[in-house]
Formats: sequence, structure tokens, C-alpha cells
Amino acid sequence: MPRVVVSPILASVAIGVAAITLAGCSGGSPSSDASTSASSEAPRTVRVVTHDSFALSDAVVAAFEETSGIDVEFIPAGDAGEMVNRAVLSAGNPEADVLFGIDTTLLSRAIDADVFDPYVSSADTLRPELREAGLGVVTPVDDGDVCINIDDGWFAEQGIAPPTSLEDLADPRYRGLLVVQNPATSSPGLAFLLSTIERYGDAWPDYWTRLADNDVAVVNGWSEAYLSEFTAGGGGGDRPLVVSYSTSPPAEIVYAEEPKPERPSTSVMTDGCYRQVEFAGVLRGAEDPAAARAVVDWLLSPEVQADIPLSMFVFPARAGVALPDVFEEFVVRPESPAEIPAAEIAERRDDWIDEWTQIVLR
Amino acid sequence: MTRTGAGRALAAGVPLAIVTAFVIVPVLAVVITGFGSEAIATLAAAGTWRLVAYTAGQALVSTALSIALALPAAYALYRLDLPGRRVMLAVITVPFVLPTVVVGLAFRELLPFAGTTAAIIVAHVFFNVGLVVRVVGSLWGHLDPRLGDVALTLGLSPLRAFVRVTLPLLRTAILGAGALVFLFTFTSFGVVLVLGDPALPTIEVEIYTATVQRLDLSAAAGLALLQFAIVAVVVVLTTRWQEAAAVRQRLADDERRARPRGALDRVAVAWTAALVIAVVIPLLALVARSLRVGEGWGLAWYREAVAPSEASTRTTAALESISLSLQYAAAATAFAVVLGALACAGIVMARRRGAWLDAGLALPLGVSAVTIGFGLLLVSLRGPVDMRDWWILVPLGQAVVALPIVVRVVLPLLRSLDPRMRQVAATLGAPPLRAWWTTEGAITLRAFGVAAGLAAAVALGEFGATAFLVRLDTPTVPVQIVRLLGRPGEANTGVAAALAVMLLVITVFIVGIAERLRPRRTGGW
Amino acid sequence: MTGTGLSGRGLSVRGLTIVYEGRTLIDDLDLEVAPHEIVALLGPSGSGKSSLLRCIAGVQAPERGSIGWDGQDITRVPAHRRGIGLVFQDALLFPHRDVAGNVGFALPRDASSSGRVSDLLALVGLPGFEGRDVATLSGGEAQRVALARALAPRPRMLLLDEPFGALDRDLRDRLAADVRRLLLDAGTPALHVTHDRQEAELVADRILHLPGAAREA
Repeated sequence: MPRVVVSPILASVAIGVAAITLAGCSGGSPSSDASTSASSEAPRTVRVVTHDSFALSDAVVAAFEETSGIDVEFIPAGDAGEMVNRAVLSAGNPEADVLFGIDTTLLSRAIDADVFDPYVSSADTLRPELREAGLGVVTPVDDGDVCINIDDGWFAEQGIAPPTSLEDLADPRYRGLLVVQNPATSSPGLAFLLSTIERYGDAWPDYWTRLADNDVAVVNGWSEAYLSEFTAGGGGGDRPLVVSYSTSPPAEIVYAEEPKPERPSTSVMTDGCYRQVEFAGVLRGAEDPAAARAVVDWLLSPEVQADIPLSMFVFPARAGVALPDVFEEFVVRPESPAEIPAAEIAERRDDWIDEWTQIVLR
Repeated sequence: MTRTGAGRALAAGVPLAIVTAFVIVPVLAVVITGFGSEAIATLAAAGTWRLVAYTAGQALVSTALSIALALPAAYALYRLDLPGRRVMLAVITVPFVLPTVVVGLAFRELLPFAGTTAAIIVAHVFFNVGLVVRVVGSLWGHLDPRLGDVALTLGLSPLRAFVRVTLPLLRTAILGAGALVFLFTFTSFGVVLVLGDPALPTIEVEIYTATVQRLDLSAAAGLALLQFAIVAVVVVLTTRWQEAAAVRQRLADDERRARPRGALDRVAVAWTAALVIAVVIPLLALVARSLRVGEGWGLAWYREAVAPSEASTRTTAALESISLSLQYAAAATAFAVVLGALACAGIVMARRRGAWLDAGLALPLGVSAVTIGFGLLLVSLRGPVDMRDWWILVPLGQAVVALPIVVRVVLPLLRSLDPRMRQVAATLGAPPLRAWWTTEGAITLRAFGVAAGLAAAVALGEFGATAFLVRLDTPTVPVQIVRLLGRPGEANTGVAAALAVMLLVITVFIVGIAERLRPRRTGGW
Repeated sequence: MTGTGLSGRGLSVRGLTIVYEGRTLIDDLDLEVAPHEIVALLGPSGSGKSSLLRCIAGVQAPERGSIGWDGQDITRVPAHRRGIGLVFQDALLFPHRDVAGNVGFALPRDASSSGRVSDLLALVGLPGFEGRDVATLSGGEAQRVALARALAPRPRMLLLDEPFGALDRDLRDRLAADVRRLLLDAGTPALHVTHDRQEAELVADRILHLPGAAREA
């Protein structure tokens, strides 16, 4: 195309490219959201990235926002695994200011990727056994046990005694009754895998081969497993055994319709439980680290800690917090749940997951 | 080389260098990461070749089916004088510009066998049948119909006349369309993610899950490299075949259409009508899903999308993500048009080597959106510039994805312009700018208008690159839809459907406007 | 041109009416071509000559009328079974085949066909042209290939639609004489349409004027 035609095009093109590049280089947040810097007088906003199972009472959040002048925004980012992966991929240039919901199994991955600005809030208010759990980088906020949940009603109807141990799960009597989550994508899924590794040691692949032969179902996340596949989950599922939490039975009562049942219809298999601690941390590169730390402190406050049991069905990390009645009556905390040291998890977790995938999914 | 020759080479080189920089940089990032030893190990694994075989297999089947279903419709719409022809053509080709997640969701609602390979093949055919109809039909419409008559008078039955006269003349268009469909379905992402068998990923999906779920960047890069290599081979091969199949013939200037006559014609018309209906049904299913609340009907999901009821965990309101999507799309379109103009200018100026460049520019079509997004992410993570919180990052990725389409729309038009017309205008006394405007300018600008519309549609619905680049609090509509689909529950699916319908309407609107600008005579696309 | 109904031998056209976009091009035409006869049809452009030939060949349907051959009504017979060849104004050679491929298009693909192709090419004065690319042929050469192609399947009758329209005077006259010789040798009756009186006189036994056409001075 001769020059007469090209010049106007090239000129406007050069201008366009320059303009757009300059606009892009200035970076900055999109126009729709108002996140202002700490130096301005407008309310400070702290964004908290969490997993999809996060919940806190609106009243508790509102109260904090009033007294502190900090607007808290919770941004769900999929399940815990996804959330941590996103944090790793955005380390140093984070998508939020605080990350809440990372647990022991994922902690080492995040620490290795230098995701956090180390900050541990008021360690002396924590329950003694949890004080070191955060490795000096993050703050424990709650803990729970990942256990097999049993639909007692289903087993009663079928006239079968429910399983009581990990070994039982591989027994042909219980064929096709168990649903678990993929440890690559799900935090409870990984916890269950880890408890079988702790139990069986190097023979754990055998155990899972037997589970696979026993027709174990695998789904990606807790919600799908519990709400869709579990017989007592309300989603028309057909599996009466699911990997969930020791606090799920009382949750059944709390979420039931009136009149509320006296006892939960599900119970927990105390053998093969895995203890999980959940942490909150300040993300490296957060816009307003001071406000972020204030939010982490708030997560350990008596108000939030008292709200946690009925909002998220886990146990408060703070010492001396009273538990609701349903918890006192119906929750059995396993005495010696499995736990594998974070360093070992960090080293071998990928290999374990790969091998599990080969055995169970392929 | 003479001064003008050197000058021209330089003038052609500069814009092309700029364009390739934007396209090549993310690919280079992938290549560099992908050549590590871990990546090579991944490639050698048996699982990888199963992956490739599955991806190629479903792409081949999708391509074959698309062509088979499209041919009778191409005949009916480009050779027969049908009432409502333009409407039918528009309906059949609309799917091509629709966002992949919208289509995936629509088919999830419609098909009882969602979550299987058959489902993704059906969705792929839905997307691409219009493309084949257009590309093959454009050529078919310009074939001299009397050639068929000649065959008849020589004693060949209509069917044999089709096989021995028409088909060989169409072969190059069929090959071209088939190659495009194969590339699109080979690198298909949104559809496979939403609609496919979770135990049977394609290469694209595997790249994504390796990155996002397993943080295995080397494996992802290795796969991306492998995919790129396969695509390059396919492009080279099909370009060769197309050249071999091309028949130098005198094409008619406009399309001559006849009234339907005979049984074969009637079958073709019925087939086309069925195709049109089949294209509309999934979209209707989507709309129905967005309006079905519990046992009854209502606008609850739309209301929820616009003003989410949850207070503490904030999901981005639909209006916000729609506005964001539009902003991104506007920026991406501007960028894509600018880059496209540079590329076209460069190609036309590098006249003799134009064919090579043409094939070279087909390559970005095959560099998948996922690779582009992944590459840009890698550049940010490991390169000198951390672009992760740049607002411009997402539109940039979308623009690179949309670039090949801009080029493919504008280039044939620019090539068909006759510079002598402008010279004639000049000799008649018109000043240069006016001469240009009256002869070529208006058409050129209209071509860019059409390209801009298509680029906007692509950017709006873009998912593969965006999924890698978008930040949590600034999701585009397609990303939000997929997030909602990842959570069980009727409410989430309902809101996702409502968002999908809104996106659908906006996309159709934009493309509709753009198509009105299309000058009457353009090749191919 | 006495009408003898459809019972005669050769081509007989009765009451043919052709309408195109509301205009009546041919109105109630009667026509006969006897076996071995070459008839020229004179008329200016736009008088419907092409449409007439297309209807007789069977690639277009007339509004009204009947077409018969050897006493059989072939109005409803599809074009590919009528055995009536048609040479178009543009040669319309198949671009994806070479010269031999075009000429032998209607012939079965066996050894005897290639012999026939060579014979035909020699007949039309293009010996040795078998392997030529059709895009490289001149106007006159292309027309001759088209003629050979049409003759290859030994049609009952040949229709020629201004085949020499695009050629210059000398070539036209030469080809006209050649065509006449070819047709007579093959014993094929023909209907040759043209607007050129001289060409008509060179080619035909009998000249007809299309109704309503002005006589050329």
C-alpha cells in the first residue's frame, strides 16, 4: 500500500500504542472499586481473601467496621487449595491484604513462596498447643478435625453397623459407600489422605488401592461431597460416608428446619481423624500493612472467636472461649488425631498427591 | 536494493516487529520455561501422549462433523434464492462469536449427556458450523453455476456433477475452513472446562489445571510448547494442501442464486432450516434456565446478579463485572485494531513475501488463549516487569487473542483494493486525501469497523487468557460465571445463567452493529 | 417449417414459452430440427436465444410447451438423460482438469477413451493439446476444446450458443466452416444460435429467425 495510505495509519497507530502503554504503565486499580491508600482520610479498606466456606455474622463484622474505621471486604477465592495457589502466583503483588483460611497442609507451600509478611497476633491469648503452630509467620484462628462422617439414619435403615476404623472402610461390607475429596484440590481431602499416610506409613498406596477397588467416589470439593453426594447432605446423594469435619453433626441440627431434631442424624468416626489448624496472615506487598494487622488481631478477638463455632463449625484458637451448647453436647473431639509435621508435608506432598492420583483416578 | 525497496522493507519490518513482539513475548516466556528438564520429562510420559491423542481425536471428529453438517447449508444459503436468507445466515454464524462459557453453560442445561466427550463435540459443532458455511459458501456462491450445467449436458447426474465438478473447485475452501475448525477445537478451553469429562482433559485444560491446581509451571509450559509445535505443523501442512488444492479459476463478481428446484434443493433447504433451529435451541434453554426459579419462573436470579444479597462475603455484582468487562473489551479492541492495522500494513507492503507472513499470522490463531495468558503471567512472575496489577494486562491478553481475527477480516479487503482507482481519482483532479477517501478510505474504515466489532465480541467472551490474568476482585463476566458454576446449588447456577444471558445479549448487539458495516464484497470471514 | 406434431424424427419443439423476471422472452414457439440437419437461429442479444437452448438441453424449465425427440416427449426428462449437448458462449472448460481431462470428462475412464480424446482433438484442429492447462488456451482454442468435449459422448444433437461470439472475424469464419464439417461427418444434428448472419450462412443448412427479431440488413 503506497505511502499516502500508510502514513496516517502508522501515525495514529504509533500514538495509540504509546497512549495505551503509558496508561498501562501507571498500573493502579480499576475505577470501579475504591481502595484508597492509608494516608487519605477516607475509610481504610482491608481486603481479606478466603475460601468459599468462610462465614462470619454480619453483626460482628459491622461492629468492627464501626469502631475501627476499617472497611473489611471478604473475597472468596474457591477452595483452600485454589486460594493458596493464587496467593503463590501473586506473591509480592497480592490480590488482597490478608489471607484467611490457609491450613497446616498448605502452610509450607505458602511460606516457601514467600507469600506472607510475618506477623503473629497476641500469641499468649492462644490455646497453648497452638502457640507455635503458625511457625512465626501466620496467626492460628481456629482448628478442627477432619473425620469421616456417618449417616446413622441410613445405616440403621439398612441394618448394617457403621464402620469404626480406617480398615473398615476398605472392607467389602462397605463397598461403594464412601465419598472423598481430591487431595489436589481440597483441603479436607488432603487431610484425609495424610491421616491414612500417618496410619499406614509406606503401605498407604496399598490401602488406597483397596479403597479404589471398594468403589470410593472422588469429587473436587467439600461442598460437592457433603451437599451433593452425602445421603444426609440434602442434595439427594447416595453415599452415607463422607470426609468432613467433627463439627458437621451439630451443624446438621443448627441448619435443620423447625422443629429442630434433638440429636444429630450423623455421627463421626473418631478413628483416622486429622487435626487441621487454620491461619490468617498478612500478605507481603499489602497496601496498608498496619490496617491488615489490625484485621488479623480482630480475627483473634473474643467477639469473632465466639462467633466462629456456629459460623464455620470449627473450634476457636483463643483460649477460654465458651462453646455453644450443641457443641458441648454433640461434638466428640478425637483424642489423638493424626498430624504430620509441616516440613515433611512440604517435602513430600506433591509426590504423595501424584501417586494418589495414579492409584485412584487413572 | 533500490532506495524504495529498502525503504519498503523497513517500513514493512517495523510494524511487523511491533506486532510480533506482543505476540512472541508471552510465547517466548513459555518456551524458556518449557525447555527445562522437568518439562521434557513430562513430555515423555505416557499420559502426555494419551492427552494429545484425545485432544486431536475430539478435534478431528468435531471438524468432520462441522463440515458434513455445513455443506448442504452452504449450498442452500449461497446458491439458492431463499426468503430470509440473510437472517438464517446471521443466526447460524452468531455462535462463532459467543463466549465459550455461555455456550458451555447452555449445553449443560440442554444435554442429558453433559460431562462427556460427545457433549463437547456437539458444542464444538455448534460453534463452528457457521464458520464453515460462510467460508465454503462464499466460494461456492461465486462459482459459475453454468459449470454444473455443462456437466449435466455431458450426461452426469446432479450428484455426480457435484462430486466431479463442484467439490474439486471447493476443495481449497473446505480445507481452509476445516483447518480453522481443527485449530479452534484443538485449543478449545472454555467449552471443555464447563462441559467436558473431568477425567478426560484436553491439552489446554491440562495446562490450566497444572498451573492453577498443582502450581506445576514447568509441566504446564512443556505442554504449551508441545501444543504450539503441533499447531505449527498443522498450519504448515494445511497451507500446503490448500495451495495444492487451489484451482485457478475465474470467479464471478457477485453471487448468482437460483430458485430452489428439484428434490436435492428441497433437502438442502430443509437441512438448513433444521440447522437454524438447532442453533437457537441451546440459547433458548439458557434463557429458560435463567428464568426458572425453584418450581416456577421469575427474575430472581437477575435481581440477585444485579444486587447480591449476601453482605459479608462479597461477590462482585453483575453490573460491576459487566461494566468491567466492557471497559476491558474497549481497551482490548483499541489495542487489537491498532496492532491489526500495523500487521496488515506490514503484510501488504512486504508484497512478495506476503504469503509467508499470512501463514505466520495464522499461527497466533493457533497459539491458544491459555498459552497467551499463561505466558503473560510467566513474564510477570519471572521477567523484568511485574505486570500483575496493571489494569492493562487483561485487555492486553485479550487483544493478542483477538488480533488474528482483525487481520483476517481486514487483510483480504485491503488486498482487493485496486490502487489504480485511487490513481484515476487523482488524475481526475482530486487531492490525495480525498482521492484516497472516496476510493479506498471508506471501505478500509468500514472493514476496520467490522474487525473492531468482532474483536470486541472476542474480548468480551474471552476466557482462556483472562482466567490466568484477572485479579480476584475484578472478575470479568465469563470468569464470574465459571466461579459460580464451581459452587453447587440452584442459586449459583441460576445467577450464572442470568449473567450468561446478559453477556449473550450484549455480544449479539455489538456484533450486529459491526456486521451492518461490512462492505458487500469481502473474502473468507 | 410445417408443424407435423411430435411424431416426426429429430427435435420438435411445440408452443414453447419462456418467461424471465416477468418478461416473456419466447412466446409460443414451434421449431423442428430434422436428423442430420444443421439449423441456425438468428436473433439479436437478449432475444432469449440462450434460454431457448437451455430449455431444450434441459437445464432450464420453460413456462409452457413441450419438447420432443424422435416422437418421444422429453419435456420432463432431466438434462443428464436427454443426450443433448450444449456448447456455451464462454467455453466454460473445467478449470481443475487439463485439456484431455475436459474432453474426456463424459467418457468412461479406460484405455479406449484416451484414443477417442486424441481423435477428437485432432478433429478440432488441436492435436497434441492433451496435457495443456486450460487457463493457457486462447479464446479460439478454448472454444474448440469445448466443442470436442461436447462431441465426445456422441450426443443425439448439439446446441451451440453463439460459440464464436468473442472471436474475431477471420477466426470465426474458419471455425464456422470447421464446425459444419465436424457435425456433418459425425452425422449430428445441431441448432446453432448466433446474431451474425454470415456465420449462420457458413454453418447452417437452414436459417430461422427468432420471432420478433429484426432482420439484419
